[in-house]
Amino acid sequence: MNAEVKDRITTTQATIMMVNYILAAGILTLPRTVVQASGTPDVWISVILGGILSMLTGAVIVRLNQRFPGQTFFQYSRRIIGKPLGVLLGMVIAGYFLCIASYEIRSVQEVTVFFLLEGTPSWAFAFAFIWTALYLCRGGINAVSRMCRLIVPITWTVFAIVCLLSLKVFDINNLRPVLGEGLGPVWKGVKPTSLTFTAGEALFFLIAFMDKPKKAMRVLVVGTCIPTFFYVAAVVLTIGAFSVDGVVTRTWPFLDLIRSFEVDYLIFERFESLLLVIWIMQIFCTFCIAFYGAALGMSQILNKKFHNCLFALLPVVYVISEIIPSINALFAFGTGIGNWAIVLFGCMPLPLLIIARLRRIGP
Amino acid sequence: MKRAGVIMMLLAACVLLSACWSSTPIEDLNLIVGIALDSADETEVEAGFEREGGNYPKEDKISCTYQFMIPQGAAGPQKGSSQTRNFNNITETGDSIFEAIRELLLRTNRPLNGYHLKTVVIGEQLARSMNISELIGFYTRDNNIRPNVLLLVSRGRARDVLNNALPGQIPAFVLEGIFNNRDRNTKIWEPVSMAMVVGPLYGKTSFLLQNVNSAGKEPKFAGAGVIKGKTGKLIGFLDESELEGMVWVTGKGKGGVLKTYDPDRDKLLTYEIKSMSSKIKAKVEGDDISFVVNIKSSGRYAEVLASGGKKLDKAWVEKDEKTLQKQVEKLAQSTVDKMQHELHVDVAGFGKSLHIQFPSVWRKVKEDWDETFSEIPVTYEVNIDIEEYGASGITAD
Repeated sequence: MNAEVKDRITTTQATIMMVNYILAAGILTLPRTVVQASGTPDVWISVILGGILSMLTGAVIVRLNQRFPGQTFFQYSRRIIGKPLGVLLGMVIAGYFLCIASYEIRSVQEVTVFFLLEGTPSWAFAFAFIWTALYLCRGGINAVSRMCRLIVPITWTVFAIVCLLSLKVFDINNLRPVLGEGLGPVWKGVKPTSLTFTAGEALFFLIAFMDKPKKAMRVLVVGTCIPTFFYVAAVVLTIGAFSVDGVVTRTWPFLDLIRSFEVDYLIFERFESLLLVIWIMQIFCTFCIAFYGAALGMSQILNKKFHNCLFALLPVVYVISEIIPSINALFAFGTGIGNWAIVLFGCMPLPLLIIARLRRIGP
Repeated sequence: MKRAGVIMMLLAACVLLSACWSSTPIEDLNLIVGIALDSADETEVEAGFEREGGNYPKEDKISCTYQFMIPQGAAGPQKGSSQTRNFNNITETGDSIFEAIRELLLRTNRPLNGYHLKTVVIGEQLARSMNISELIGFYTRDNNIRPNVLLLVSRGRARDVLNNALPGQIPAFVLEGIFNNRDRNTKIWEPVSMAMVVGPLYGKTSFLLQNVNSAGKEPKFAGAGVIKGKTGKLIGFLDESELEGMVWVTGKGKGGVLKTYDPDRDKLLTYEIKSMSSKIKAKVEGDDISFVVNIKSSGRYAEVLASGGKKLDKAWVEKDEKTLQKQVEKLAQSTVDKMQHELHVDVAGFGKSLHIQFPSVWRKVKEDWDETFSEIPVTYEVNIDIEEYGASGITAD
């Protein structure tokens, strides 16, 4: 049906893409959103629970995909629930990917223009970002995955260095007492992690490209564990520096953590610019994968050429990201996407899997 | 034709990809390195401007003094020795800190820049009358000023602190640098950055800020200012030895001196602290809360006087350890006394210990903790270990 399906990626490539897809702009605000919801320092447990939950829902998606080897969700959904519903659902999911892409680009714009490139108009930044993404996505899934693999050593190293350095302002007492308020608030903190753990949905199309789809479960587990580790580190360190009361006052708590210390024994004294530059690359990956997913969905649903879809969606992404009027609207948009993800990827795949079983579709 | 296309592309790239969209040469910037906030107190210059009609609608509430660094070389060759200062202070009075900083731009041609701000000093009068979180509101929100800027209070006028430094030094940097002496002096509180105060200010927890005084031509760290969490205002000071006691209670010191007199022989005894630690243990029996402060320290003799040049044997060392332990207890006790009975605040983290050890008890008392704490009995267990006596094994005659 499409030339892209000939494009194959290995299990490792798929895992790295998965990690890169999950790690995105969410990390900058996650410490605040979870603490706001739960109000205790135990939110790192919430983050771990969030990771486990997203792994469970992801497992359902994996099983569903394994029934239809070599096919993406956009292709097989109509076989399960009929063409009209299948097309509709596919459109909703493609729309979701589009919104993720817009959310990422808008977040990165906000942060960059505020902290890094004051005075640079945001459109100039967005244009460079979007056009490069288009160029990359035109290269197919292999190009995207190579890009991901290229940046992984850089981003992980910088992240690790920055985290270790931030121990300078870390105070363990800010994280204590553990479970002083019991488990109730911890559960409340799980929901806001859904935006950061938008994980399973990438599997809807990633598995179709895998050369060994049988190993998709491994991709899911490893691909979720690594980002969970990153997120827990970010949350623990940020709360350790600011305390629970302080975190909720910071717009970008993780960046403020990096801004809260200076070191005089390394080449650099300050690390926020370095981290931000690196993190822009990370967000770029997420953006590309989401954008790729949206375009792929559109091309497979409407039976149009993939490249044309990329071009068609390009302005749409930009327009959505520019419609958001304010920073509060951006955060609300993020929460909305998170809720959307819970419904689409937390609740929906299971009934689909059951229907597929009952109707004996797939192998 | 193809080559022309490539050339066009390259030209376009040169124009479009050059990455200096909003750059400013560094020598054209006014780098703010220190800020002093005082209650309204206009300078001569400002009064002069106002007489000449340079005024705008405002309430005179805060006097902000900004300290700029003069980059070396930018000032040009200096004639005579009268001008050896490599910093410059400008004061602007107003009600909005942000408006005041922009008002300064009417007086200087160089854009102000807060990237290298190191210290903010708040004067006593202002800190007593305004909530600290209102005062630093702009600085914690701004994108150039980093949250690691240190906060201090000054008994007296904060502006004077920023005026004083030895030739060639910049006061804001001196203040920051003094904190590095914490490994040699226990009368310095930990450096408190803006990142560290947003939590307590928002959570209504009391805390301490280092106090700095200025007399003559030099600044001196002298005790600490106590900020009450409920109001966010300064309510009093700990003097130098009370701060020393606080450092012992919290175990936050890194090294320094402990001096006492031996009661029997009435001779000086000083001990150099190599390490110290402290644990606050909460005890709850029914509704009664009590605390035990467990202080440990190890170090060496620095000065030990006794006539006759006695050998520092085991018995002698043990006796001196007891004397020192009593001294630490006395210091700690007088600090806690002041917190409980004079200031009615807890800035030593007793509440945090209770919170960690008995979360359910803490929930009941946290509303009015500062007051509750005033009634709670505190006991001390001090353990000092004199490990060595340096290069001389006998007392000094």
